[in-house]
Amino acid sequence: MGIGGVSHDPTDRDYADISPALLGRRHEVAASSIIFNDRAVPNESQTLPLARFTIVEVNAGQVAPCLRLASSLAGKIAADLGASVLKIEPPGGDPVRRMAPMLPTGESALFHFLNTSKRSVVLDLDSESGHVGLQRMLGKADAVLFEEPASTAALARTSRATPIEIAAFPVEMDAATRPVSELAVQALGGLMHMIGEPARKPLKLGGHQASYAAGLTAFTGLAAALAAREAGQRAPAVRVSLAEVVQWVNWKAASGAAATGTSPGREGQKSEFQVVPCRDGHVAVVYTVTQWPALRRLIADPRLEDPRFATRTGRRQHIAELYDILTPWFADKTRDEIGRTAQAKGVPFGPIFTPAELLANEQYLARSFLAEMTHPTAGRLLMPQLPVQWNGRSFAPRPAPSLEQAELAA
Amino acid sequence: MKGPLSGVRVLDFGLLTAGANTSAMLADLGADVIKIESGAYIDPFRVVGKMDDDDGWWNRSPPFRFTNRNKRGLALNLKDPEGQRVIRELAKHCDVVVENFRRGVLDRAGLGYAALEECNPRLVFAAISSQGDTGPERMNVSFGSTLDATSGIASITGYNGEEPRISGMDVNYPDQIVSLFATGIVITAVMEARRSGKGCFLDFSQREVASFTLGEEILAAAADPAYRLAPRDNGEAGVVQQDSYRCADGRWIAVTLDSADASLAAFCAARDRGAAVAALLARGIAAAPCNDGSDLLADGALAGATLVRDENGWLVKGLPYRLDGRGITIERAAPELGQHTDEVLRELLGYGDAELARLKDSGVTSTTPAIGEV
Repeated sequence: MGIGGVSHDPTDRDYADISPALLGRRHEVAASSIIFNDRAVPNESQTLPLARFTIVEVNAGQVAPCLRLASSLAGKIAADLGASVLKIEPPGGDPVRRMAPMLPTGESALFHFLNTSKRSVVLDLDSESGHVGLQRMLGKADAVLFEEPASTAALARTSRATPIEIAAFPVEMDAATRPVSELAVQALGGLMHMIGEPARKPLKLGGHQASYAAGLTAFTGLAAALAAREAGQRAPAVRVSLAEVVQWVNWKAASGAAATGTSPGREGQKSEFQVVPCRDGHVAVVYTVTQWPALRRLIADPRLEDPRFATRTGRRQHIAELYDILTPWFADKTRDEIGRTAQAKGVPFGPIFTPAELLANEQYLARSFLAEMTHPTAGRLLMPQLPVQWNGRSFAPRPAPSLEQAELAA
Repeated sequence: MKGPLSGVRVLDFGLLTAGANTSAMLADLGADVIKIESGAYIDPFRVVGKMDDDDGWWNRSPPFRFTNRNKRGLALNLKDPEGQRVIRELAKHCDVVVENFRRGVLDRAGLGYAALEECNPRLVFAAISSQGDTGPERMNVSFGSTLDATSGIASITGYNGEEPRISGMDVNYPDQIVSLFATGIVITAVMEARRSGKGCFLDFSQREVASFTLGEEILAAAADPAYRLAPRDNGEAGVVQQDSYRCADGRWIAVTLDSADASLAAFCAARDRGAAVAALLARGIAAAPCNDGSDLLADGALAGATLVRDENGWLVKGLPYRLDGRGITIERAAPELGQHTDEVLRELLGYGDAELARLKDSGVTSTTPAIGEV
């Protein structure tokens, strides 16, 4: 029972597992009846915080991958939290199933990460039966995640389910017709201008940061919509554009430009924070104004007492001289040694680790941040779980659906 | 405005971006956010964005204004037992606590989860920290780009074949994304508290949030010891040609091509930025200017809902999404230090003039910082 007296009937609202008994009997029963009539829900999800909600994630055929990654991440978070998330894949499967990086089995690590704990069905949304099937599913769902431009957008927007739309650009920008790539979005939102050397080309942040930041945003929008529904309010339709999210994340560029008339930009070797080599890799030199005295004590070089370095303005003016003094301190030390010594003095230097090195990171091991699962086709997998512990509890992801299952369910 | 979180009250100890912005996002959804500072420890954003040395400088910082609009502000001394008592009283009237102090700080003030949960079992307590509340590195300090480094993001950012790069102090990327996730989890926990009558302790590690954005890289590396680090630079696996290119006016654009074209660099070099982007878009090619902050300010269509003005005309942070097609109206500008102390203590705790005067005279409440530089 939700607040505000909204009744909750599990038979009506919960998608059940696609029963193994029904697999192999394709064409016999429409997808929607399989999905809605089987009531076998995994026990664990009963106690998860979003277990009472059903969410449809519509993956149309022709969508820029960067939008798909965002909608998939939002759906994954909801699914790991127990929501019944049904992913609708186009014939042939979600193209992300073929995107790098790949596992040794030939399956996509990207797909496996982004689709944990979901179920999936292949539906041809261009066909009449596919359209009808989607309509039925939406009629029973609480929310629908979809990407613009999707052929099903109109249907999604008028269904009982609250629409959570992922787009590339703000509506004011010919959003539906402008060609899109994730790199273009990072450029447009001003993030690339901030990274690299001033005299050289701008760089993107590694990974799929525009998509993932948008996916996190869409999850929060989804949670807000579900909270409104449960409180008996009309939930707002949510629209997330990658370009707006990147600008929002990069707000200091606009703030700085508005305050001083000049935009901040990539400073490279003129930056106060620089990356320096050490014995076994690199370390990011990071410190705040209050941490400068601690940094001075850590490096313990009398030249740092020079009045030129006493103020932040002075340090910025003599940044090359400052780093000439700092850099040799790192050369003969390991990243671990630097990290430990600096933390002991309250200085937040950042040893740079690769994803592979994080597998053995003591802090991550102590918190069981990396969850192990055995996937029926991909084998033993180790991946980050949701970055939150809830009364000490983590949310172990469950295996992503295989394409075979999704096709059989169709 | 009646938002999805109307009726929810947030006790906000959030500082800088990670904490304060999580509360700001809750405020934007209709929650009543009361921000707690102390004269002895003001939000460092009041100092980082210091514009002048004149009286009241602490109320004029742009980054503070950007992040704390739509909140009410109280100044109560967390180190004073009387200040601590008042905060415990306030916690009884709140649904959510957001804090991003170093671990242990609130516990030592008798304001940690155990103490506040005793006052109010329905409380959702969101603790946002560098490394999380457990583990050998729980007491580590970090500042934005520290976590670019330790999360793995820096290792796949940079020029091809050169050293790794961080997002830097004007982005501090890991600080920016945590609120996008934490807000949704807090809302989920509020729903649960409404149903069950019981709150919870939410332990967020900012470093884990940053590593979570590299989930597929960690998964691939775990599955295959021979997996090679994803290359740096502007390329992308499966994308034929993609980079930033310099235009005739010296400005840069980013372009993604479906089929390789060796003449693209020359094409861009022969045109000004705007003309190059327009020509590429007209051919159905994804292209965009590498905008700077001034470009973002100038392009209202692009800014979308992300920038708004408060009642004083100051530019502040808007929404990362649209709700029913709209952004937000700023209902109140970021609070001056201690601006709403008396108002909130009267409203929630029923304090009268004498009680408020006593708290002020004993230095528990204040409207001026006890420090000059942070």
